[in-house]
Amino acid sequence: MEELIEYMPFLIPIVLIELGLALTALFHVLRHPHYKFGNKPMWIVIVLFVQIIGPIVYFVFGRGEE
Amino acid sequence: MNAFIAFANKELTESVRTYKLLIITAVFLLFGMLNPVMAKIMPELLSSFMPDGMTIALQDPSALDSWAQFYKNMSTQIIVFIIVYSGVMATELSKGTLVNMLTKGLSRKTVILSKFSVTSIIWTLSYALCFGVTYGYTLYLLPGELPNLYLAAFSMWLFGILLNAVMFFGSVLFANIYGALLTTGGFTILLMLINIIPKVKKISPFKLVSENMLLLTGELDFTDLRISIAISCLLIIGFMIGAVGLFNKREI
Amino acid sequence: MSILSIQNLNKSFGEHKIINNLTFSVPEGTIYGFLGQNGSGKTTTMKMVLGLLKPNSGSISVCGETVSYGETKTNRHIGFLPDVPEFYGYMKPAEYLSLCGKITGLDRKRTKEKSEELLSLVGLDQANKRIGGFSRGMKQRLGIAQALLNEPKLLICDEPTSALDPIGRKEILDILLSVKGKTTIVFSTHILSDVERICDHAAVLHNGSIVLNGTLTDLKQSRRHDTILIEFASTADLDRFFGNESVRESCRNFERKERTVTIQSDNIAKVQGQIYDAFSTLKIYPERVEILEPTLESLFMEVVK
Repeated sequence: MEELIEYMPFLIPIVLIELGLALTALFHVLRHPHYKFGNKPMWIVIVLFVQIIGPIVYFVFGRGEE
Repeated sequence: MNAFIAFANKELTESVRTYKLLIITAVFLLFGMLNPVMAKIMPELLSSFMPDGMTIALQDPSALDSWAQFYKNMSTQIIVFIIVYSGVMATELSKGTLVNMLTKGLSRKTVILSKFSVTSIIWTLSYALCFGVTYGYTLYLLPGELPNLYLAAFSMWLFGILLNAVMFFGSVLFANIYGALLTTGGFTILLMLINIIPKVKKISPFKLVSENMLLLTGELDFTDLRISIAISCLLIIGFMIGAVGLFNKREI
Repeated sequence: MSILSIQNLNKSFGEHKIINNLTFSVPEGTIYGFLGQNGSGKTTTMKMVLGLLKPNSGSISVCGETVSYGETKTNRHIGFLPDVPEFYGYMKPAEYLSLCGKITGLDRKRTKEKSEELLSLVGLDQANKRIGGFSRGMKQRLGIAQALLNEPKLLICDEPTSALDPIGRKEILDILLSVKGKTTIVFSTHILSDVERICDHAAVLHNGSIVLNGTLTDLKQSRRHDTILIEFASTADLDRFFGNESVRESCRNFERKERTVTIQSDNIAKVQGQIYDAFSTLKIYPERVEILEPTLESLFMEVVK
């Protein structure tokens, strides 16, 4: 596993993007409590724990009208 | 021309404010980084999971593996792109937001062409971003020269534009998202099916996405692809003319 | 001069004939009420005027120019408010009007002036938030603002008040009344009181053609039946009243309902004389005596029967 550490400079940006996406989605879930379907706790879990796909699914399918 | 720019501008604003651009940029950037990294660490990852004493013979990763990841993942990215942008035309028709615009004198042709231009530009830029990042990382992690690198990239890009045009055609035909997605999906499946016929396979637009790796190994080059490229361009023009024609006929 | 004229218009959806040989014209400067039941073809007619639907036959002209289906030049004279105006929810009202201005070809400065003026006219100058968060009434008001942006000669409103509460309705009607004189307004509705409140002309559409058409005063005049309503203090009074010989003689045509009676006659003065005589001889003191004007409602019910 030690070899992986040498690739950290490449892995960190990837993690950052995932995190950025998850946080943007999380703030949106919290600030706009209207969804096409589902509820707030459900979307919080999806957005935070389903990497990449979670935030995408939220923005494309779950995000309600403003 | 002013109306074209104004409406294209509106499309761009829409992309930003409805988070479409954010998603596409993040996904394309992410895969751009992942492709070479995955190619590089996959063998090490695999061997580190092997029980002690057991070894598997793995070739050292090369630039080719990185690009293999790129083309494998890009087909997923095209799907994400089409899903995210499937509503740009279809939702306006199903919701009726265009009524105000059309009664203000916006021509129907301008609506379709400006929307198509904006989605095509976003596709081009995000594709270039993904390509650029993969290119840079590959150069650093897995250096190596490959033939036809840009031609392979161009052909996949062109296929994306083709699907975009098909999506617009489907949007106008069915006036809803599902129709748009079904048309695009159906078109792709149709291409896969007729690919069984060897004569068709040689000239099918599907060649643009199925044989990128053969280009990179040098087994194929531009002469093998030119007919497919020409047919794809004609199809793009055909679908756009069709979309404009259908839209002009459609009663709103 | 008529600003909108429609000649022998026909439109079917499949087998279903919606508009049947429709002919009417809208004089300049009026507020024209376009009445009809739900599904009588009001929206279809308006969409044909805007070139959004294709007529099967007949002609439409706006400001003397013929309307053609598709991209019609006549739309530069028209402002249109759809029944449920749909906007881009992620825009603010000023941004939306600015987009409309660019599309319709107004220059930047003019668009800005005009949109500020219109937003304050419709009371949205303080609403600096995204349209997605607007109520129905606010969207309707923004709809009027966008329709008036290019200073149209003809403003077409499709059921602007139908979906609104009484306050929202009053606001919309007041706005429409305030632009009278600057533009001709055609507005469709099935709410008769709205027409009585602001329209000077009205036409009733029934089964795809016009069954009643004219100025509001003419309409009422032409269908005038002199009617008198008497509300008695009790039913016993009413019975006593009709026990009277001369009353029975003069009031042939009447309708009783509990304590009230409505009497129709072509010589209302004579009837009035006789009933007042009867009141004093019988010592009946009714609670209410009223000469009834024909209402738009009664006219409407009569023609769409």
